Formats: sequence, structure tokens, C-alpha cells
Amino acid sequence: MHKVILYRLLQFPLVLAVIYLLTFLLAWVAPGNPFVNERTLDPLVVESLQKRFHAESAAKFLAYYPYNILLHGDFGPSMQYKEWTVNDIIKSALPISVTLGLVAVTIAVFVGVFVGTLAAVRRGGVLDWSSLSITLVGISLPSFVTAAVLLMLAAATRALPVGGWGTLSGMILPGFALSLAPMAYIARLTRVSMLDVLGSDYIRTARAKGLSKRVVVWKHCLRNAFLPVLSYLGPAAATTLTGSFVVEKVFNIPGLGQHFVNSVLNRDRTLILGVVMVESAFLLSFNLLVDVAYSWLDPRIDITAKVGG
Amino acid sequence: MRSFIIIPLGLVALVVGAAVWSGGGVERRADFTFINRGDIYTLDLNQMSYLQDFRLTYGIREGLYGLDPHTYRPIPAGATGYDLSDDKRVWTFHLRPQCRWSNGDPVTAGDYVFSWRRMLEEPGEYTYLFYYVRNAEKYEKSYAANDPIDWKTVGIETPDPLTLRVTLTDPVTYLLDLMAFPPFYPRHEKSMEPFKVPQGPNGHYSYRNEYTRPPAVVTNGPFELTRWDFKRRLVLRKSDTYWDKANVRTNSIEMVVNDNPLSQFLQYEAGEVDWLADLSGTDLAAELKDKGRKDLRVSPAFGTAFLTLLCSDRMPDDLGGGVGGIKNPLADMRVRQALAMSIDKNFIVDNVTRMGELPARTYLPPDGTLPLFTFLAGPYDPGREAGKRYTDSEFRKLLTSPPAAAGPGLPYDPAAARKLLADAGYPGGKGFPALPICYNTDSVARAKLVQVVKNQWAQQLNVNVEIVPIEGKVFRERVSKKDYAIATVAWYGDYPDVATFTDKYLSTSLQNDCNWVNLKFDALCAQGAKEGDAEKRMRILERAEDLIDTEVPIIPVYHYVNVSLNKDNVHGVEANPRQITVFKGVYVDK
Amino acid sequence: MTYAIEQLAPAALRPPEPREAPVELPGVWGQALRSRRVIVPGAILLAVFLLCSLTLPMTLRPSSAFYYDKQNNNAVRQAPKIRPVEAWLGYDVLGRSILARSLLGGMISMAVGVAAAAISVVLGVGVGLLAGYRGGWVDSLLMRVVDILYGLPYILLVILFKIAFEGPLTRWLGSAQANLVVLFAAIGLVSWLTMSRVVRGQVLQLRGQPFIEACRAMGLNESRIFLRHILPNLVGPITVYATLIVPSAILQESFLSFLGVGVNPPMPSWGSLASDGVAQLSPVKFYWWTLLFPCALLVVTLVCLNFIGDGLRDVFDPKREAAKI
Repeated sequence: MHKVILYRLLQFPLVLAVIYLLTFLLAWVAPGNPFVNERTLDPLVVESLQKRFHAESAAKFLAYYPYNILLHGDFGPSMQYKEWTVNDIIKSALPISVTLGLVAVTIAVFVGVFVGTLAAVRRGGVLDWSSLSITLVGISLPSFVTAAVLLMLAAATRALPVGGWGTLSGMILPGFALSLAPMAYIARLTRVSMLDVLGSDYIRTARAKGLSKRVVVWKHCLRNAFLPVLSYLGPAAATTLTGSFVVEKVFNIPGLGQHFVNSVLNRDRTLILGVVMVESAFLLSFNLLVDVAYSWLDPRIDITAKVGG
Repeated sequence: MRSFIIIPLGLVALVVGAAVWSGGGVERRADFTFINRGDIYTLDLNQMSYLQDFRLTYGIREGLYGLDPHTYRPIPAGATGYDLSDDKRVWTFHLRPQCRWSNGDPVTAGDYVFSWRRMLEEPGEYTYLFYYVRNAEKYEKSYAANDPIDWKTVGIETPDPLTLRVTLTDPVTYLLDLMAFPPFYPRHEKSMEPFKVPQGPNGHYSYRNEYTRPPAVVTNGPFELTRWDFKRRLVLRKSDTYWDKANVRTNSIEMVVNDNPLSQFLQYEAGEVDWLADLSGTDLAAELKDKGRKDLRVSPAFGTAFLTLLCSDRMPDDLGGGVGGIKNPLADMRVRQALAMSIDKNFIVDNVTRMGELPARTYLPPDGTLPLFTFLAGPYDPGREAGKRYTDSEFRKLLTSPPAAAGPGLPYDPAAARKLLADAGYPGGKGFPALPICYNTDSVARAKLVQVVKNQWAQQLNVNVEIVPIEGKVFRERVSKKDYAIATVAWYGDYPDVATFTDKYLSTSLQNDCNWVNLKFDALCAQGAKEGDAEKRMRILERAEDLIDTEVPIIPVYHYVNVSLNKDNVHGVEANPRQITVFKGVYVDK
Repeated sequence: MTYAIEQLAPAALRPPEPREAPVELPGVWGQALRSRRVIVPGAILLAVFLLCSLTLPMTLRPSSAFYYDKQNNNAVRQAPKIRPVEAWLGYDVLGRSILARSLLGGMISMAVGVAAAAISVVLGVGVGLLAGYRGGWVDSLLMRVVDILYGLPYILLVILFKIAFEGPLTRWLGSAQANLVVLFAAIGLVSWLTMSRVVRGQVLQLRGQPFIEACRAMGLNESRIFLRHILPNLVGPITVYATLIVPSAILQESFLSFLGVGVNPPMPSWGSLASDGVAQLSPVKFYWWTLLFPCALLVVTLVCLNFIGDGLRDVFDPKREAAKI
């Protein structure tokens, strides 16, 4: 068990390095100059900027930046936001995205599991269809529509702050908007795996033994049915934590999600790399965490065994 | 079961912990809070080019001259006055002795020289303004080539710490306006020292932009930058060392960063900000105007939105859509005129932009910035032969009436346009290639403009164009590399003079992205540059402007307006065409 | 993040169990087609599709009143009216009929979804089969590649792909068509990852089944085993996931339109119409028809697709039948 964890941890640097190189290649090949502004620039100006950012050529870039990252953990200056280093930007944005993501994941888990369980237990009934339909709206409407509509509701009812970051109540609405998509998937997953579990023998035994339906469902079924949700939760949490562009743009939240998209649109190569590294690190660690939690929750599962044998 | 409950409990605990970690801190609200046109790009004087950066810089830094809060004419600030030589080429500025940096050091002429020399040694977008100074361009180019000429030959001298003598190659009538413009502001060398980085073996060096951030930043303006939270806010505090601090009417200013117009408006409605500096280009502004909101302030801006047409003989080879490398139909002036005369600009300003912009017939905006300038009658104006002219205000009135035939520039006349197109060899639009028309995806207004123009050309001329959306950075690169056929662009004036517009289309100018070459235009501009008398100079440049309006290498569509929101108790933020805010005079009646 | 979250489930998520005995295809599909979960949404979906496709001649003909780019100068932002027919859903900011644009937009959105799903199936099945059959280092390598592709920024890939290929393609296909083809390919290329994992998992599980061993013992050759026993069992999960890729592809296209790198104007798609509608949103005046109708169509179609996918998944896994307590 510990060997597996160690093995996976050792693979991290290799995978991260490959992701770094691939992202760098893609970002470099993309046409577009990060230093272009509203006016045409003198070639001298462009040259001096490129020299400053070690971006005259791919070779010079790769000679300077990875070295800095490995030795000092320093991703260098941002090409678009010239007063700020990539580290500054990530340091200011990451806590906000993490908080927002956690709020979203919590809401998604609670509501999604509840709805999914209900749908499984009352299968085929009105509750099944309607509860699922409501959560499915979360993945049937584009996120910018739901976020914008929620913002307008907040403004109309004046109940909650209309954007920005700082107050506890300001986290509710964006968190909810962000939670809709994972909520729908969690509900679906819960429903599917609950149905799985509900049909198994030991549950029938428990019912035969006389245990009440509520105890059987919520205590025994859920524990086992939760496993697929857990494994979905890993990568979903990683990507939700590192922010959603749309929610941050609509609610004006200074998180990391906007940088995912904006850095690409701005061809801010250093920031792209920094942000992608952060997201990959989260993704890899969460996957590992989830696999560990998986086997801890269900001792029968052995993650060291190869799938299929 | 016990082990299972850990998951939801753990989640909640994490949420609370993270909320505490991410901070947020609600402080005491500043005396004046506003939302700028967008986020700050940079506060480094070398690289500054966006309006919002300039706006903030006017609050924290100061140059030889400042701007009067009401007339926006230059008034003495860092300097008490100047002496001008008889040939109008040597300006001697006398610095104000009381001026201090925010750390207490006195502002000396050496600070100006340091900053200006930086502009030449590490060129930025506005370095070209320094070319008026004798030998400045030579110095810049030779420095870049690692063989700099002697700095003493450049026309910038400091006989003593409180005197700055500037020698120009030719007279510049608007030099004081330039002195009020941030690229000409001084900088404090000692505080920037820790941020110096060498650039290669030839002794070149640069300064990391972090020098503009608190706590290291040292400025000489009415306010100090005390706090900058990335993407969230900037906080300014009244400077104790400022020479005119008695007239600074606010103690603290906060600039909130918010890129989303809807969210900006909601914050304003909730009373969280006092002033929305720029709502232009949004549908929201148009809706507010329709509703008759009293706090919406609309005023003309010193800028024009236009279509730029590639005037080279052949299309760029790798232009897509099957038109790469073909003979360029837009090289023929009649084709360009036909295209210009078949766009119904009134429809566009009434239905697409809806903010009461002036439909444009000329490149230069008649917004009152240049009251002495007159516009010549256009080629289809019967008064052209007699040399009829329109004053700035007459022209403005003309533009608010339906598109009449007479006036400067080209009128809206689809029938004449069709005839011109036929004369050029494309009767009824037959044989006209499907040229790509590009626009910048950052702007929603341009997307709509392009669709309307496509439709109008198809209906009036039977000419079809393909719409090609291109994202921001790629768009600007392609336009500057002349890798396009038709594109929607805009131009704002940097200083109140005609040259800021006409210089763009000199055949030698880097900014001439339509490749229009007209030697008569070049000659007129050169003549104007040498002319010392302001009136005579206007007459020369009017003819230059007329050439652009007649030959239409660019098709002006409409002149921009400034749109802002503030309640009546906010003072000092009155709109002006160049979107300058003199923060010294800004205050809120609580 | 705009990955279809479905794609993020790692291999630990068990795909539906395969059947023990050789499969009788007609039986399973018959059951699928009879399931209520599939029929009702399927019928709705078919109705929408027919409506959009049968009106294509009208929405694409410039002279017709239903032309998607017919800008009526006097109908700018007009609310829905009873007469004429094209005013039923109102007009947009440039005076174009929202009904006409929604119909054409539907065709384009559904085309994007189906094309992306098709590309994903081809790629995902190919890679999954290769990984599952070869095993060993090929399997490891391919799965690591999939892991790495998950980590790359999706937007970067799409933008790069668009920029790299749209220019050259316009030379052959014309601007609008090239734009669509590139969009299909770009979205399809990022959607195949889960499919490959699922197929690989299935193949690995199937190969270990006793009945496959029995076939080998009997002397059947590999290709026959594959065609008669493995492939039929793959069809189910492939169909399920393919059906689920379509809605996610449509949503991804709408996100790209929101950013301005989706379909080129004036071409509509439900996503770009929704994006335009959101741009009109303000507390001052709410032009509800610009947002409501495209979104309603989008929701109905996507919910139906998701239900069909779920229903199919229910059918292909017999254990679920027994879950009644």
C-alpha cells in the first residue's frame, strides 16, 4: 500500500515535467505576440521587451525558466501583468479559488447525494424524474447563463452581495453557481450506484432481517454507493478548486479560473505555465488522495491490483 | 458509520478554514471610490499606453505642467513657467522649488532627465513623442545599436538643478500639452535602484516593473499609491509632501477592479462605488440612456471608430478564404469610396451603439477639442470649388441631421456608390472577391458593427464579405503586419492636436497599417510640422485631413462618446474628450 | 472548468458489467427501445431535430423571410408577436428573427454534438482497443498519455487548433464550412479521453472472462472472438458514452462562443444565441426573449439526450433491474 503511494508520488515530477513541456510547446507555437498593445510597436521596443522576459526564442525561454522553477520555485514575471510575478498572482488568487471551490463541492456533494439517493429509492416515480430533471438543468444550461441569471436574482432581491469577494455571504451565490454542474453528475452517479447496491444480496438480507428502510438506505447502502462518487470527486474537486472562469467573470471574483482562459488569450506564456502546473499538481494529488481514500473506505478494493488481471 | 461521517464534516471544516485563509478584509471605505475603465495594465511610464493607466497616473504623478480641472488646458505644475527662444525651438523650464517626492526628496531637473533618458534607452510606445527633441531619435537608435552618440548632443540640458532646457528640432506649438502627458513625467532614480537588472553584456539595463508597486514606489503627485491588491483594488492616499496639498480635496481614493459591465453597474446601484468611469461600448449604457437616467453622463470623446482598408496592390499571400495573393480591389480609390458611401452610419449609431454618437464623415472628430480647426467641403459638396469650410461646431450640427449630400468627407449615397463600383470594373458587384473582414473578439460592439456592414454592402452593392473573428493579441499583430483586407479599428488622440491623428498615416509611420502612400499628404504634414504660426499650420493640416477624408484609406464610421455614471454629489469627474481625470479636484459631498 | 465532468472519472469507476453469455443483440436493443426512459425523450429529440432540419431550406435561403441573417431595420429588439410567423420568438439586437436563428442554430449545435461524438468514438475506441488488447507497455504508455492530456489546458488546445487549421481550410472549403469543421475536430479531440478509458476497461474485463477462455480452448481464432463476442459487448457502453458526449460537446461549443472563438458570426448556434442573450441581460430592461427561447431549446434537447444516455445505461446493465426495495 505504502509502496504504491510512494511509487505514485515519485511519478509526479515526471508527469509534471511532460505536461510543462507540452504546454510550453503549445503556447509557443500559438501565433500572437504577448507584448502587442493597441498601437503598432517599434521592432526595437518589442525586442527589448522580449529580452527582458527571456522570450527571444524557445531555447532561451527553456534555458532560463525551468531552472528558476526547480531551484527557487519562481515562475518568473507575468508577460501581461508586468508588475506582478506569476508567483504573486497565484498566491493571491489560489486561496480565493480554493475557498470558492470547496463551497461549491460541499454544496454539490450534499445536495447531489441526497437527490440521487431519493431518485434511486423511489425509482421510476415522479420524484425520480423531477429531482433528476432539476439537477440536470445544471448541466444542460451553459454555465454563463446560470451564473448571469443568479446574479440578476441577487440584484433584484438585494438579498446577497452582487459580486466581489470578501464577505461570507458573498461566497454563497457564486459557490452555488459553481456547484450546479458537479451536483448534477454526483446525483446521477449516486443514483446509478445506489441502484447497483440496492439490488445486491446483502441488502436484501438486511431488509429480510427486519431493518428499517431508512437505516438500510442511509447507513448501509450509501456507504458503498458513495465510492464512485468519491472517485469522481477527486478530479472534479481539483478542477473546481482551481476555479471556474465563467463564475469568476460574472461575479467579479479575483480567483485563478480567469487566468486559465485569459492567460491563453493574452499569450502570457509564463502565466499559462504557472497556472497549468498548479492545476496539474492539484489533479494528480487529488487522484492519489481519492485512490487512497477508496481503498480505506472499502477494504476489499486493492488499488495495487491491475484492472482486469 | 463513524468513519463515513468524516467526509461531510471534513468538507465543512475545510470550507471554514479556507474562508479564513483567503482573507478579504473589509476596511474603512475610502472618501472616493470608483471603477476604472478596466484593470491596470502597467504603471511603468515607459510601457504605459492604456487610458486607464494614464488616468491613474494623473493622480499619483506630476510633470512640468498639469491640466486645469475645468478647461483641461495646461497649467504650471512641476514648473512655475518657461522661457521660449525667438526661433521657438528652445524651451527653458523653471522648476518649482517646493516640489517633493513622496519620500521627502526634492524634485530636481535631474529626475526629469533620468526619466526621459530611460524612455530613449528602453523604448516604449510613446518614445516617438521625444523625436521632437534634437538628436533624441539619433540617440535612441544609436544606443540600441550599441554605439551611442554623446548624450550631451541631445537637446536636454540642466544648467542647474531647478532648470530644464529642451531644444527642439522644429517648433512644436503644443509642447505644453505634451509636458502634461505621463511619458514626460520625472522618476525617482534612487528608489528604482534595487530593481535594476542588467540586459546583456553591452551595458544596457532595465528596471523590473515592481518599482511601481507599494511600498517601494516613490511618486510626486497629489496622491500616493499605498496599496495594490492584484485584480481587486488600488488605494491612493493624499500625499503629505505635495506642494499644492491645500487644494487636494479628498483624503483617500480607492479604485475597484471590475471588468464586467453588469457587475460594475450593480455595484454602483448598491452604492458601493461613487463613479463608474467608463461604460462605453456596452448595451447597458444604451438602456440606461433610453430610460432617461439623470446620472448617466454622455459626452463626445476624442476618438473615432473606423474600418481600415488595405491599400497595397496585392493581398497578402497567406490571407485565407481564397483571396491570398490576388490583385487588391481596394487599391482603387473608387472602390474604397463606393464602400464608404454605402454604409448607413445613422442606422449604426441609432441601433447598434445607441449612445448618441456622431456618425463620422471625417477621420478627425469634431468634438470641440480643436475649435480652431475647420473642415474642408467634401468632393460631393457643391461648395467645394468655392473653398467652403465648416467650423467645428457647424460640422457637429450637420452630423446630427440626416446624412445630407453636402459637407466634409463622403456622404451616404448608395446610387453614386454603385456607379463608382461599376466604373472601377465591378458592375453590380460582379467579380468582386469575397474579402475577409476581421474584428477583435474582445469587443462586442465591433461584432455587431461588422455584421451590419456586411449586410449593408450585400444589399446596396451586392458585395459579399466574410466575417472573420480574431482574438485580441493575434488581431493587433495581424493588423500591424498588414495581414488583413478590411478590419475594424479605432484611434484616440493622445494630445489636443491634429498631428496625433494625421501622423498615423504618413507613409513612413509605423502606425500606418493600411499601407496608404500619398506623397502629397506626406509633404503637407512635413510642411505643417515646420510651421511655427498656429493658424497657418491649421490651414495646412486641414488640407492633409481632407486628403484622408476624400481618398478614404479608412472609412470612418462614428466618433466615440464617453459614458460614465455618477450621482450629483460627486464633483470633479466631469467628462472631457480625452478622458482625463484631475484627481486633485475630485470630491464627494456626503 | 469546461471539461465534461463525466470525462474526469478515473478508471476506478466501474463501467457496466458485461454479460456472461453470448449476447443476443436484438433482444437488448429491443428492450432499450421499449424503455420509457428512452422513448419519451427520444421522441422529443426527434421532433426537435425534424423541426430544425425541415426548415433548413427556408433558413438558408437569402430571399426568404426566415433567412437567418435577415436584418429588419424596424424590428430591432422587438418582442414576440402573433403575426407574422417569424416574429413568434421575437427579434434580436440586429432585427433578425430569433425563431429562424434558433432553428438554424439547432442544426449547427446538434451537428457539432454528433460530429464531436463521432470523432470521439473513432479515436476513443481505437485507442482503448489498442491499449486493452496489447496490454503491457503499450497500455501503460497510452494511459499515461491520456493522463497527461487531462492535465493540459483545454482552451489552449482548442484555440491553437482553430488558428492552425482554420486558415488553410478556408482555402478549400470556404470560410463558414472551414470554421465548422475545425470546431468539430477541436471539440472531438478533447472528448475522446473517457471513451478510451471505458473501452479499455471493458476490453480488459472481457478478456479475462471464462467464456472467452472457453472460446479459445475450442479453437476459435482471435478475430472471430473479437467480432462475435467482444465487440457486441462493447457496443452498449460505447453507445451510452457517445450519447453522453453529445450534450457536453454542445455545451463546450457554447462556452467557446461565449469567449468569441466558437462559430463565426453571423452563423448562429444555440450557444452563441444564449451568449448574445446574456450580453443583453441587465436590471434596466430585460429582453427576455433573446435569452429564454434559445436556452429553453438547449435545455430540452440536452436533458433528453442525458435521459436517453441514462436509460440506455440502465438497459445495458441487468443488475439494475433487480433494484427494488
